[in-house]
Amino acid sequence: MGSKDLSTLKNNRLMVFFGILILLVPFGCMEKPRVSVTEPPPVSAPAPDDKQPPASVPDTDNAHVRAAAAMVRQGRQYLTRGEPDAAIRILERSVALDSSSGQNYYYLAEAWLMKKNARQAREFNRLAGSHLAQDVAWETRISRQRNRIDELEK
Amino acid sequence: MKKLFKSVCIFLAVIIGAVIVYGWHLSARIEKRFSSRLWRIPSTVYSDTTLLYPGQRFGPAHLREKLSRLRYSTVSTRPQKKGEVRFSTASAEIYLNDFSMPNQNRPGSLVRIRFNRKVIKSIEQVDDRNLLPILELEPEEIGQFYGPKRQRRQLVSIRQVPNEFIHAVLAAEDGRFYDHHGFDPIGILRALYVNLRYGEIRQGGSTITQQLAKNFFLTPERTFSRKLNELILSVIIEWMYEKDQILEIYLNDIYLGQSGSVAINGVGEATTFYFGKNVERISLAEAATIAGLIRAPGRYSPYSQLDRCRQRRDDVLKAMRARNWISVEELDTARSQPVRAVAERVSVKKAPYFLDYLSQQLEALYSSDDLTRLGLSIFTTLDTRVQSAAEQALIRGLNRLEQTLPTLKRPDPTRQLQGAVVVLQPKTGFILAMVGGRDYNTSQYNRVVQSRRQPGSAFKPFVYLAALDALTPVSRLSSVPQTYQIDGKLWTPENFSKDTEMDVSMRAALATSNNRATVDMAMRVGLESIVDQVARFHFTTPIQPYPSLALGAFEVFPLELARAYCAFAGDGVLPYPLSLKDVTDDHGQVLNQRHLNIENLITPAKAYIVTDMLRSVVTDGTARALGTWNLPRSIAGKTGTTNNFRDAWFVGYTPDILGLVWVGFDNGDSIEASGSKAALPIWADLMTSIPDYLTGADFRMPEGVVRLRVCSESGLLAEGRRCPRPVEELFEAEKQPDRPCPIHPAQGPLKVIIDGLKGLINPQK
Repeated sequence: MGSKDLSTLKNNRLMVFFGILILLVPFGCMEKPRVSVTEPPPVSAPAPDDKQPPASVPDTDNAHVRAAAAMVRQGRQYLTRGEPDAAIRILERSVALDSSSGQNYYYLAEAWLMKKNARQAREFNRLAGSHLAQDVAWETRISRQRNRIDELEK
Repeated sequence: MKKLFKSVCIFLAVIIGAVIVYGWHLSARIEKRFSSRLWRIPSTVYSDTTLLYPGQRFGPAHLREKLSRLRYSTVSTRPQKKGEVRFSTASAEIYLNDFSMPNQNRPGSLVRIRFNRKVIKSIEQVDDRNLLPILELEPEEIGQFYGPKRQRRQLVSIRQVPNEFIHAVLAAEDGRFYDHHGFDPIGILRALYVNLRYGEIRQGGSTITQQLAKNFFLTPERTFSRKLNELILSVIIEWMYEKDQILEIYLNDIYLGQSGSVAINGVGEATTFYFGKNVERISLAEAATIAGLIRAPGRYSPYSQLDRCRQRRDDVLKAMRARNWISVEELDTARSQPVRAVAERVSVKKAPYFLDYLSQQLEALYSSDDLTRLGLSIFTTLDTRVQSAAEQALIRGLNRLEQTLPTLKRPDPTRQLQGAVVVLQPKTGFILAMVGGRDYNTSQYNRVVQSRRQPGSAFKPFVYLAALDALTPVSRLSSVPQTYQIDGKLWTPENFSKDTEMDVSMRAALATSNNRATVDMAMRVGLESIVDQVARFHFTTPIQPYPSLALGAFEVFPLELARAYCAFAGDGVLPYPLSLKDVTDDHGQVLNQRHLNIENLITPAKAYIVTDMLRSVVTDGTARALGTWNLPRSIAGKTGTTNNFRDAWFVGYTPDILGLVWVGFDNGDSIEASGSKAALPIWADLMTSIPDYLTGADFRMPEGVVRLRVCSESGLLAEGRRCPRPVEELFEAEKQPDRPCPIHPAQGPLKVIIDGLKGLINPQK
């Protein structure tokens, strides 16, 4: 192979190299796909079973919050057994321990519904809605509870 | 002869007939008496239960104190019986009592609480090592409602009384109880012999049945006719009732001592009073001690006559041995034990002001006769620890004020400097503590619920709340002196402090309690709208639309003011202040229940904004002295001082707890100190005494509130570095500013650079 051939070949390789490089530049300039470091968009949890809603225990170091969550579980058991007064008693203590728990108020509304007191049920339903506004699953349950309160008031 | 016989027969027939008729009459009396309520059983008032949980700031010392108040006995080995506790370095083993309350029944069991210094580390059931997320301790007895005869009595059934206790009583009083039929001729003769032999009354000849007959139907005088009646009644009682029934009544009836002005009746109450335990747990020696008291409780008292008590106890034990009711070994063991009664507990009312307030609540449900007779159990919201802390903080605070300002001292105790404290759980309205005065023994006047006082600046949050309809925390208010006309008179509100700012933000005005700015705001907003807003808080005093309303120049009860503040702490919800929870009868049947009762009053957004402004009172305003106390950061509050320093207030709260303190003289004399000097330190002292009630949780920002960076001058959005004094401020979402500040316009690039350089040389704070 003569020097002219080598030189030609070398030029061709260079052209291919630069050609590939030129082709890659647009890709290099393209905006990279954004990786979100903020909170992911809310994902709807599967709608809880109508009969046994999930007792989501908050994952927190706050002792009073854990204790309040345990009392909410007890309150739910009383409701399941058809003992609204006992449920109210324990949920009241739970509110005192952790007033930010919307579930407290939800189950208090349930207890007052069981006692056929729509006024109190509505107050607690409203509080539940205020505290659980960000939780899509609970929002649905609260809305359904509100409908039951409306029915009771008719 | 026949005639004589006939006369005798007729005479005997008449006598027998009369006896039968009389006996019939007596039996009717007996039946009527014994079928009705036998005793007036005072109703007992209980505190709320105590919740314990892992992670709680509740150390061993607190637990020891609590269990002592619940009459748990401290033992050195593993607890074997209910009501015992063993403390070691970093743990406590508690054999819990049975827990029986409305809607709750928990049998006693052995639990272990481990501590990490002053924090509960874990709670577990000892038998199965199961970890418990919460543990509830039974409530404390805090008072009783006594009748005219002040008697304490815990009814027990004969099945609850151990056999050895029954034998001790019989040995002491009526060894042949199960053999005779109401009276015991042999016993009478024996007693006569013994008493003649020793020349003193050592034995009584009356049987247990005779004693019952005397106590229930006869007067105590010693006459022949009374004694004859007693014999007849005893025979009839024995004929009508079983032995065990008679003995049961006796065991619950007998007088066994005195606690101050209150009589101790029945073995159930006596075992608790003398030995701090239930009747089922009484030992042989203790049973003999109590049985020995029957004859003369004062003469054989284990508190004042220990030697006589022990001698009497030993006599009872010997009598039991003589009847083969105990063995020689049991006799020797029991005799070798010292008489160890628990510390004498004089019946006193705990939380007397609270109990009086509770009485008023109960009046709507029960007559005073029922309360002193039916043996009801009344469960309340009172927290004894908070109550005790409140009482002590108030006394310390008032004493401290008198030392600092000696002119406040008064020689007459009824005219002393006074105070009031009420503590609520803001979300539920539960009254945790109530102290209506400095000393209940001196004055039973409950200032928390009976004293109408002007709240002064402590009322301002409600005015500012009303103003939020038209203004925002960054709105500018005028602090220029201004005169108003009220009913033909001129009134010029003054500020306490000499400040130079002529206009202030709404937030700063509340924080520094600026009177002029507050009145200016009230006039701009409209006094009628303030009256309408305030009326929703259920203040009982009619409020007039005068400018002085803005400065709290009308009267309120401290409890209603504290309750009103709960709406700010509780997402806009106003709770009903609750002291009573449950009432049960003497069989545990629930008669009455009161629950958390709330009313939606204001939006959570407004409640949060007012709370946030009240936090500025604590961080930058008149309550900033709280920063020197070891308290969490999430505190909101307001001081209050009335004209001439007649009243000093501080109302402070966290998401967990709300406390109100008032200080003043009943006659309106000046206390020469402001709310921040007089009332605030008492509040701080109280809260630092109960750190486990302050979880450190912060107020939750609800939906409908936004935090924006705005210009402090215009209240509009501060963009870039245009505005020299931007602030972060809260707004209701629908009222948030949506345009940039027009006062400080956009700058050209050259100006931006120059300003930037200036900023580097002289950075803004």
